[in-house]
Amino acid sequence: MSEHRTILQVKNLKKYFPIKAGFFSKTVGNVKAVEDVSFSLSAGETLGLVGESGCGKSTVGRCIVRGIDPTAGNVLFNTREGTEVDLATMESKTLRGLRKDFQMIFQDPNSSLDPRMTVYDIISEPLLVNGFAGRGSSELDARVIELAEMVHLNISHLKRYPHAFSGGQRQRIGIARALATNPQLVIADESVSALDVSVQAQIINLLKDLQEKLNLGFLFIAHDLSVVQHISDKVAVMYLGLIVETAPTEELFFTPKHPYTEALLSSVPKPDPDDKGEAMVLAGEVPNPAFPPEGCYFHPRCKYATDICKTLRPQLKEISPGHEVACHHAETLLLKGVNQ
Amino acid sequence: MNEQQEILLQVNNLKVHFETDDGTLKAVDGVSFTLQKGEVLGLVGESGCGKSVTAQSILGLTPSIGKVSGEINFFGAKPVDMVKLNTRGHEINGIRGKEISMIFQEPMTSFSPFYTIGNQIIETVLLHTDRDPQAARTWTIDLLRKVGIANPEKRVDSYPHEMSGGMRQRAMIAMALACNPSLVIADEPTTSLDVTIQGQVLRLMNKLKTETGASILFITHDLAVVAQMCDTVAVMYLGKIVEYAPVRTIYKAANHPYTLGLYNSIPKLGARAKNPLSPIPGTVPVPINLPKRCGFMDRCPWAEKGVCDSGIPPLEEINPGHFVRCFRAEVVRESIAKGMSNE
Repeated sequence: MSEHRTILQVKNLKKYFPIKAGFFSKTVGNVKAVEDVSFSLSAGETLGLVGESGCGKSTVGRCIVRGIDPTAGNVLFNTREGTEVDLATMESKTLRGLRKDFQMIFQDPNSSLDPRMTVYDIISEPLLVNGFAGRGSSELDARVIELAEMVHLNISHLKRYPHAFSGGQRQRIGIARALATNPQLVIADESVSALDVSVQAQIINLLKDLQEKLNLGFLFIAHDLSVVQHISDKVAVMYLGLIVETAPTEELFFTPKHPYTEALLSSVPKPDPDDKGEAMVLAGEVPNPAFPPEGCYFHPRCKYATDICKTLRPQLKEISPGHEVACHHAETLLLKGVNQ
Repeated sequence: MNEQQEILLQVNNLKVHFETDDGTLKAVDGVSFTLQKGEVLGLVGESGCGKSVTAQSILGLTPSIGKVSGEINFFGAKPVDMVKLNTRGHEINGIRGKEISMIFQEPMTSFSPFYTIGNQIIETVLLHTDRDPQAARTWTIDLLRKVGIANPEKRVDSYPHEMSGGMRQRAMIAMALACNPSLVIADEPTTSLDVTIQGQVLRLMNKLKTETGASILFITHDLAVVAQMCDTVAVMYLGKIVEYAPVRTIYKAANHPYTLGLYNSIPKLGARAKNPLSPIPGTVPVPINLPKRCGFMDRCPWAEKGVCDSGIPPLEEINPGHFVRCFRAEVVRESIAKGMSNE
């Protein structure tokens, strides 16, 4: 139960989308959706991946499960047998045999479930495809019921179709489906952002329970910082395809070292009318990743930027154990985290 | 808020009912509130609580199969009851976009993709004011500059798809302000935006509110946004207002179990202890053929048989300006005082 071996190591992951133009669709440039992303994840651990829309966080998730093929880099996955395999370059046939070990929970519970399949069919499909049980067998029945109970779905509803369920219940179905094959790694891409707050809290609690029970490694992709803080053990902040800061959750929220993290934290509205905060609202918007600025990508929006930031791109460096920052001034800046 | 302020909008016992095959769907069921000039009222609740339908009914935008009853007295240029106006009539068109304007959630779908942003704003200006086309264009450029769009002279000729989400929402705000309305209805204006952009847009709305003195009806499900924007808050559940109070009261001394539940469901930034969240159990029922009892009873930790199912609880004033719809409000209050809930 309490083993904490590394199950996933992403090294220098890159994903470029070519921009094609002209009659012969010549490639005229690249959108560097993910430019250089590395991180690792242990069993039973949650890594929160945050950033604004367009920063490449979802692309990272899709590259890991090979929904799309990465341009370069390694996705090293530790199988149950203890061998290390590179998902990024693996043949799709061999990959298929491994898919049961990493699963995905999607954002939109309405469009990620087939409206013409019953809940029973949806949850049993991964079991059938991966040969866990035969069609119509009693093991299949037992496993589907076990899964439904695990996510607190009413068993008498298994013959219904997705439209008969509310958003929160549909998300539970999606979670049951993802957990059907006993995965080691679950990638949750904005899995709670489409839900109402009261239901969102139910799903967050459920995810945390299940993680503890099953010792899952979670990659939690989200833009809602308060949710990420609640669920993650460590957090990586992305900006324009790069990780700009990664640290254990509390350290990142209370003592951020990157100006972008500070700005993100200060723009979260606080549920307290007396705490309007001196929100240092970020000016401008995320630049177009096809034409990123020179030097540090964040410098046009950064109030601490100096000349060096305009020319030289900072590399990630470790400033304290587990806390890495890509900023020239990380050691000298005194940044404000969340009020405790 | 002092007492002498003028009332701008007074909603009395508003009901919007839809006939369905399964029975009458009571989307809004007896909502009353007043909005003073310059006040920002937050209408909060989860999806399906009727907050958007309430807003739509003010402008006569509810789907035509909906039956609207009650009163919506709007004290604009001349006092009218919006419910009595013909929803396709001349009179309501003179109010829509001029005296009452609306900011929608989805800036992508609420602009027409076939016309430039400028054309769409200019159309409003030409329709409701006596500016000539050239003056209207200059006015529009000024508006775009006011909402913080860089390079407005060029942007005025952009199509909606050429702008980012945040910029479109700014243009939407510019359009809503085009004719100096006295009431702006903002329906989840920041829900689809990133936190950083949301911060910019909220700050902009706050600034414009002070500049123009317009009242805002702010519809959202996000209690944190409400805390930052509103003067008064009405919490809705199943088509009814369950708690209505000044914003500070809602945050410091909420009394309805649903408000408390909502507040406890949000993960708070900076909370050190990682206690599990305390969500509200169950889900919002569909408001068709509901029994005559407290609608929140099945999800309420304070519910008691024989009390809560004895009828629909009335909205009672427990403190000046603080209204609660709960039979057991006093019990809830006492148990909070003992420190049972609310952190």
